[in-house]
Amino acid sequence: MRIGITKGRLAKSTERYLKQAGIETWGEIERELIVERGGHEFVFMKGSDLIPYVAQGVLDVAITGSDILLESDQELSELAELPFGQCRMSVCAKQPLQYEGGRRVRIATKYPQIARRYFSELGLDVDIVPLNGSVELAPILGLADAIVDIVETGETLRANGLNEYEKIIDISARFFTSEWTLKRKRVEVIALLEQLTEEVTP
Amino acid sequence: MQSFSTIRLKSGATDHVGKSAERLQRVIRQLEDGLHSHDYTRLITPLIEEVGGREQIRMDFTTSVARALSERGREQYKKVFYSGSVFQPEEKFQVGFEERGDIDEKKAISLAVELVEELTGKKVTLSIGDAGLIEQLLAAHVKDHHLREQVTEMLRQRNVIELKRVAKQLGDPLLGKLPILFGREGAELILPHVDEERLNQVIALADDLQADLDFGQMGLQNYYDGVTVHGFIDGVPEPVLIGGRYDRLYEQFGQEQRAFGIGFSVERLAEVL
Repeated sequence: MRIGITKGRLAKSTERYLKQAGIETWGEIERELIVERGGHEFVFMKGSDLIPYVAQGVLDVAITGSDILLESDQELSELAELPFGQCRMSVCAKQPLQYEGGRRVRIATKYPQIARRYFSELGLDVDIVPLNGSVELAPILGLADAIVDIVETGETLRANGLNEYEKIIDISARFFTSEWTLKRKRVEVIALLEQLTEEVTP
Repeated sequence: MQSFSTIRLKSGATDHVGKSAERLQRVIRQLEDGLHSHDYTRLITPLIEEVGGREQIRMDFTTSVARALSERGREQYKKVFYSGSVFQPEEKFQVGFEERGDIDEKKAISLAVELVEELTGKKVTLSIGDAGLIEQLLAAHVKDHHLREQVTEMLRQRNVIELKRVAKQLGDPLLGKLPILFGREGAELILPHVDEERLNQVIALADDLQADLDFGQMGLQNYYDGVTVHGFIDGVPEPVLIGGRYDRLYEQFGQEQRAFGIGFSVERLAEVL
């Protein structure tokens, strides 16, 4: 199987979990982007890049955060919720937001789809400002009133004078594939799914 | 003169010129000719229709075809084909055929396979499901109508995680397995919960067509209420033909009849020429 792994911090927890599930993993690597171990090929990339690779069947399966899948509009088959990478997506600001004021509230975020869906479900008409990084700066410098972002411990928020006001959704790691791969390689995909969900004793 | 210089290609849309346009045209022409020679009548429906009093651009052909054929005086048209763009929301070109009345599903699916194999020179792999059987199972296992609709949508997305959550909540582990129920093994698991005769018919159809059985295959649209079919060729990670049975769509137009249709993905087929 060709398995997509999210580079960075999530790769470490993914490796630990795969090992617990009895899967041989990549161990010490430096700059390699593709590593073959125990009959699998592990491919490392940014979480959002995993989506088209899996959708097009280039990667068979992948593991990334549910935030990445929620932000994508690609229909992929989410097979398992894995017990790591836990955090939450929240609305954070310097002070509680006043949605009923004269001016539309401006929300800066790296997750415009999730933010748009959340506020529209609440019936709130807000302006979304899409950004690529360091969204905490937006309310500090006055670009936006609030941010929608991932919160793990809340330390970065506090260090920048921001508070978490509304939790949108809990986030965790997901094991996913495409419908095409599920049909084509169902025996291998289901075997890996079972190994990941039933045999893990942390 | 009015300025036209601000005209831009819509994001996600593509122009086709030269060889790429020729390939698309070849797919369209060959499929249309093939359907015409098998006694299907051409049907052209407008790109924009009214839905609930509001104008809407075409998102799907099957619903437009059902609307058009249900109009008085069109009873004699039992086998039609269509050709044109749908917007989902990006534009896709589709050719397809629809039948109503006395339908031979095996014959219709075999024709679709034959057309794709002749066009591409590649073998089609078929996958057969039955949305109606799964609906039967869900009606018995998920009593709450609203939850049942949610479960059906989870199944359409093959979201094992959410289905396992519902399965746990209802104490019904079968629900968590539905998206990954394939072949004879899958059939045995659903047998106690569905009409045996109907299940045997689906198994026989899959055997006759040398198709895989996939009980999680509900079809892309929620009007499917019977056999669903997806056809794949090597090198294309999406079905190049997709369709199924949808009698209840015609019920919405006051018609009681069997209906079945298959659409071809023109762009995907053109990629392999």
